[in-house]
Amino acid sequence: MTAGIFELFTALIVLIGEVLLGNCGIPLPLSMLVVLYFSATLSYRHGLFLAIFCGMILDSVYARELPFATGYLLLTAAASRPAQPERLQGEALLSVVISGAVSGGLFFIYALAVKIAVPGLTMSFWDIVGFLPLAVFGGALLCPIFFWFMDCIAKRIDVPIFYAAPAVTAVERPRPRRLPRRKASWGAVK
Amino acid sequence: MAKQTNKYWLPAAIAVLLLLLIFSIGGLVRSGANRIVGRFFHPYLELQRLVDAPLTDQSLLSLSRAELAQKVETLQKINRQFALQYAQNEKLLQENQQLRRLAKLPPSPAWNCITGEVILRDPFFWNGHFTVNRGTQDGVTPGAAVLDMAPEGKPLLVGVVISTTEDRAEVQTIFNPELRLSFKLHGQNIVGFINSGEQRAGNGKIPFDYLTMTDREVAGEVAETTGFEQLIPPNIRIGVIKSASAIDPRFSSELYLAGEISSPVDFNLLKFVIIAVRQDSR
Repeated sequence: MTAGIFELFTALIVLIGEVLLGNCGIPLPLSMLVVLYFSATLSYRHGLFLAIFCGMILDSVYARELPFATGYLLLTAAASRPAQPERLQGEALLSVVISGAVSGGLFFIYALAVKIAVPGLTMSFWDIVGFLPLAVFGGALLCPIFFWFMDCIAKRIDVPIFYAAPAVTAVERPRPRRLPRRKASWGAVK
Repeated sequence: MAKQTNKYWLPAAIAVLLLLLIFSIGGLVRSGANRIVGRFFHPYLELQRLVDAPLTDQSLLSLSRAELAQKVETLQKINRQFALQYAQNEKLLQENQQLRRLAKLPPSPAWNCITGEVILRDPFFWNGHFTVNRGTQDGVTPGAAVLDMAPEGKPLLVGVVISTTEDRAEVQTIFNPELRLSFKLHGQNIVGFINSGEQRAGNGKIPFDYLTMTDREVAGEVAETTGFEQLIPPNIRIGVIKSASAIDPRFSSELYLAGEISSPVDFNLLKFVIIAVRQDSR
């Protein structure tokens, strides 16, 4: 419950920030970071939910003809999957950096696909190609900073799920660990 | 190993499926959601506008007295020119109305001009559409023309209102490939359509097609609205024809010309617009 409220509250604040920045002509997809954070910290189901929630809000407020934001946010939720196991064990930095870079890369590949398939995207083809390294680098840099910032806030407002033990992340119900299967050998006594 | 692979592919597969679903039903949901979400964001956008205005006013203080005086003088000069033009137009209007009465023609449609401010821009589709702070309560209706003023005081077509709520209106610009409008060459009855054909808009240029073949050079001609669309006033400037397909009608069976129109509207500086609403459309 606490996680859900924290998740939605953060998403709404970030969405307001993204819309206000976008209004000044700064296309900074902050909602991607939120999706990535909650997807890696809680579960990919949370990520998918947030991707649809934030995506629908962004596409609605801009009255877009195609669900552009929903598309890249869903891809972000999917891209955060590799970061999750390490994040749950508290060894997050490298995997978070990789996830951020992958999300940045995916965003511009998606933008490129949209540019080719659907006309109307303001960025030109070469803008998108030129921004690809920037997006990858930006994602890799912004992601750990955002994760650290969110963990600090969680600590401050005492939401134990996010900062304390990633091992208890799925929080309310910690899952039992499975033992690795042994290879069956001939003549083994059952 | 197979299970491990599934772990990574499952979210991706779900994401793709959801994406397809949203692409297919998104249009239905978005029209309703737009009203609710618009209401949620409205105070924040207004707040941004309120912060912007004093900042812009303060920036005037950076100018010296001499510069300000020069600006005031220039504006007074422009105002005098407008006053003269207005007086001339008023005379012509009265004459036109009198002639219409004598010829027993219906009166020409009157237009209400509503000034609006751009409150929301899409950073990824910057030139494609925007939102203004005027809605149905101000008399704005879908289909109304949205205009900007050229430095010489002549109106320029920016776009068309596509949807309205009580306090805001979504505008589709002339650079949006979805907006197809008829246009004619200034002073001629040669008609074409913008955003039609196979070319795509980009870099301040609007593609056009189906312009009736003519043996005259069309590049450099002014493109204007035709008035065929009932809610868009006629003779509003769209831009200047930059290029057209080089076809010699004497040696070709082509019936139409295609090309590009360059619009003088600078979307980066666009802050205030005029919405022309036909008086009998309310």
